[in-house]
Amino acid sequence: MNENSYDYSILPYSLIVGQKSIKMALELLYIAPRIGGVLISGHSGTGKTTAVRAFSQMMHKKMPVTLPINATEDRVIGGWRIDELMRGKDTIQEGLVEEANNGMLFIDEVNLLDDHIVNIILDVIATGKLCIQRDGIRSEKNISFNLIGTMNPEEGGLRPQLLDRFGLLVSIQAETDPNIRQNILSTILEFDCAIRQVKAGKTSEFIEHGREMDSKFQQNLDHAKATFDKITLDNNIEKACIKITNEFDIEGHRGDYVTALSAKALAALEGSSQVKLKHIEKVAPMALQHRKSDMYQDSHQQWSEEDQRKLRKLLYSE
Amino acid sequence: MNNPINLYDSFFRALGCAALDPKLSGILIIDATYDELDGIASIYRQMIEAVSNKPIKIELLNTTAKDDDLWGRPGLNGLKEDMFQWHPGILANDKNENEFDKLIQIPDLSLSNINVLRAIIQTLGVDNIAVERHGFSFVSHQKRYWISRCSQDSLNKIPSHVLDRFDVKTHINNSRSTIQKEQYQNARFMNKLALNHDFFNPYSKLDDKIINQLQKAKQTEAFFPKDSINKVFEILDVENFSFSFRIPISLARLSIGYAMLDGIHKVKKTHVNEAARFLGFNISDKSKVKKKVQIANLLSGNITIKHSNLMPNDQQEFSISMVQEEQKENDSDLKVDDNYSQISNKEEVILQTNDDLNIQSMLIKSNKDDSFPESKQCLQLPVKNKIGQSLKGGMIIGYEPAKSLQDISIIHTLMESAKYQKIRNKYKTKKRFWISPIDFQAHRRARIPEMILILLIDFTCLHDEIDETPLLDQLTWAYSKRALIYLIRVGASDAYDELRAEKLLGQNILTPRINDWLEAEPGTATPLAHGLELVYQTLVQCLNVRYGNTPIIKVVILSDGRGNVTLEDSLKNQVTRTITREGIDDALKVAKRIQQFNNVEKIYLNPVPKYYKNIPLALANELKAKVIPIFDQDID
Repeated sequence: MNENSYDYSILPYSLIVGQKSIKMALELLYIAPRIGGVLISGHSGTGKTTAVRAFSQMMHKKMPVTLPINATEDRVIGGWRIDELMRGKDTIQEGLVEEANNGMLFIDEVNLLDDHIVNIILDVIATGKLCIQRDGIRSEKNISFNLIGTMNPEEGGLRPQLLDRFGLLVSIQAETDPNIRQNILSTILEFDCAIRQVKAGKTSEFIEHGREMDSKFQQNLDHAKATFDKITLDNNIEKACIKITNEFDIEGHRGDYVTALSAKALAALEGSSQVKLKHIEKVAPMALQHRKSDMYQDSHQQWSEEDQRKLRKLLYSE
Repeated sequence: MNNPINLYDSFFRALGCAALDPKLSGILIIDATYDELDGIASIYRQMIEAVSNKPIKIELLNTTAKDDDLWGRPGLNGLKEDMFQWHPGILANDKNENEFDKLIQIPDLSLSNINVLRAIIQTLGVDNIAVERHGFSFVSHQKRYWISRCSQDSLNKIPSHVLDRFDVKTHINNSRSTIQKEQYQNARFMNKLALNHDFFNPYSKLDDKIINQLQKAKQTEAFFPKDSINKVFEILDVENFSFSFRIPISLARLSIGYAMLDGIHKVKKTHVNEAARFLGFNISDKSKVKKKVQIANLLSGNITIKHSNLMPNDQQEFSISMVQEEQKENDSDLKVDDNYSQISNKEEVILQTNDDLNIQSMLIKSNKDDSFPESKQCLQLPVKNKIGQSLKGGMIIGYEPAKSLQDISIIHTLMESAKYQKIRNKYKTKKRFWISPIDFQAHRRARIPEMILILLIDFTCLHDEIDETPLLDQLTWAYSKRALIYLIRVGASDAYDELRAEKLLGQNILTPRINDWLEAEPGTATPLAHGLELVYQTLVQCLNVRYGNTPIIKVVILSDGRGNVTLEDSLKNQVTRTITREGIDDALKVAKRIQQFNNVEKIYLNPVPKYYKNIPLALANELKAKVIPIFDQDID
């Protein structure tokens, strides 16, 4: 499913108030696609889906390829065009996984996805290949995409294999700062007003201002992406990544890699020529919290104040 | 007689506000009857049509709908050349331009099956819905409005995530004045449901006057000044606010609707108050409200005035000047633009006798106290090939390619193979209806845990000398029956919140975390009442009709009964007062509620404490549980 026209019902990304961690994760993924994916976990009404759609609209001028939880298997991996088939023509239709190739695949409420669809996604991500052997179709294609998922932890967790495929996990809480809350509400109400204006055939200064800011911000991100490969990552930083993953008892090597990659992307975003410890401090919670061995997928915060203190101590104690 | 449906009635006024903002697209009316829901849906539909100038079709969404019913499927098209065509689902249509916008009516949200609940999560409040099914891919742009009902008692059966999607949650009593409520209760008791019959008659037509009022309101552009935004957050205290931002947004949007109906461009605090009351918030300035009520009553000399029939022509003079004087004193910046707001202010005064409908607080409390933690599981589709899954058991929730010839769905198998007939016959000499092994479709069924163990352990009464054999017997039963296990811990030293009990679901007794939890050390607080409350909620969930066949459930409780945290303190997660025996009393009260589950086997493992030996026995008695002593080995 793809719609290419600008959707005015989506709040411009630059106008989203708060939710800094979601924004940072999405931006880092854009700069360094090898991060692999972002999972946004938070309770209902915390702006998860809004942020993802707004980001896609800003960067790609369209909605992301979306895998709805009601999708059937043939639409995920591809199959026959049924309407054509029923007329006696065998026309192959590409699936959502293929449609998302070299881009992003967005799964809203990913923890509600049917189990066998999860298996398909896992297979494709793990092997980098989409193998179709069904309904008389046999094909094999190289596929690569970034996975962006949202979930409400109240409804249960994700299988560890799938969770691990998300480079970064953002656990969001409702904003508690009264000023930010008020800003959020007034932005939403102003946006409601702007939509009414657009629907009435008028132009909205609010939306135009947002689009203008989006355009500038997009340039910044593109610039950061272009400079990403030039950012240096010295030995000490690499050692620091390994040290913290060891101390936090992280299984596998993906934790080190994603931490370093994300820190590098953040350095690019901040216009720094090299990765510093402060970059690791900012990205490590997102890269490591879902890989901790004592991690339980419930509604509690995964990265505690104590974890943050421990992280700072590990990074700056020597 | 005047038409009872008018925009001076607080209920219809709020319904009109909801119709004015398409983003307020989900309405849940608690404790409405099915007839009332029909009537309200009909009125709401007409209001939306008046505002949007588009025809709206009411679609009844039954509680057992399958995915294909909701999203569409390829189906037969008679004997035409195109034998098959896409049959649109209730919620999505590929032919957007020719299709009506819809008002989806769900007769009882609490009885809805997993498909319906998942569909609500996916579609309620969403403008564009992606459908990717059976070789069809499209985005449905139809506007969907939702209306539903449920009883107050069954609110906790609905996942909080689903409840949160309904922007407007109100109680049916908001549609009646105090006197009407009494009369209505009596009428209900006497099985005479006629009192509100005219009020919510599904065949009632909106007056042209109301249609004009709504259309005029639609033209009003109202904005939200900063002080009114502050008012929104004053109403929502920080604690309540923390779980969803949808609440202040809905409150603000409804307030804008009130301002639009009043023809006012600037949303006033009174509009926010009016919206808040309708949504069931407690408003802090009750003293002012009560004062206004007293004045209104004093002037009328008769408190039996029915607000629903209050019409500008015949009763407008009633107390209006005095009320407005009072209003001006309290809200000096309120300038009434026209009769609408005059009447609405008076209405507001008269209706504020109803402070007991604290729906939002109830919902928030329900969310915060984890009273429906089981929702964690119920929106996820059943995982295949799990121990405990019964082939013959669960309700049919869909279809899937068959892996064996058991439980085949013949119709869906034929439908699947029919798609390929033209292609298959193209290469065959004999024209037949060919069925290939890949066509076979089997029923997909909801998973049913046939055996369930609900085990509550109070760790503060455990010590090394206790004989654990009776407890091990229960765990052995769970193992041998491959039972699903809910472990509820009370007073564990490593509890996340010391004042609250915790619940864990394991697929069976071998689940590693169950073992971790069983190894806990005793803590200091004993939130026994909360633990029993979790037992109660778990029983409600397990016996919920959504799961189909009734499972066999065993409740085992191990405690000395000496709870020292009140249920209220557990829910608030703070100690509010010095506790003497309130913790025990609360536990006894909850135990009595558990007693009502007659078909559940209840076992009380009594550690036989040296002091207060009667407390565990009293608790077991309230539970009507079989008592098994766990003798202290020292005594032996």
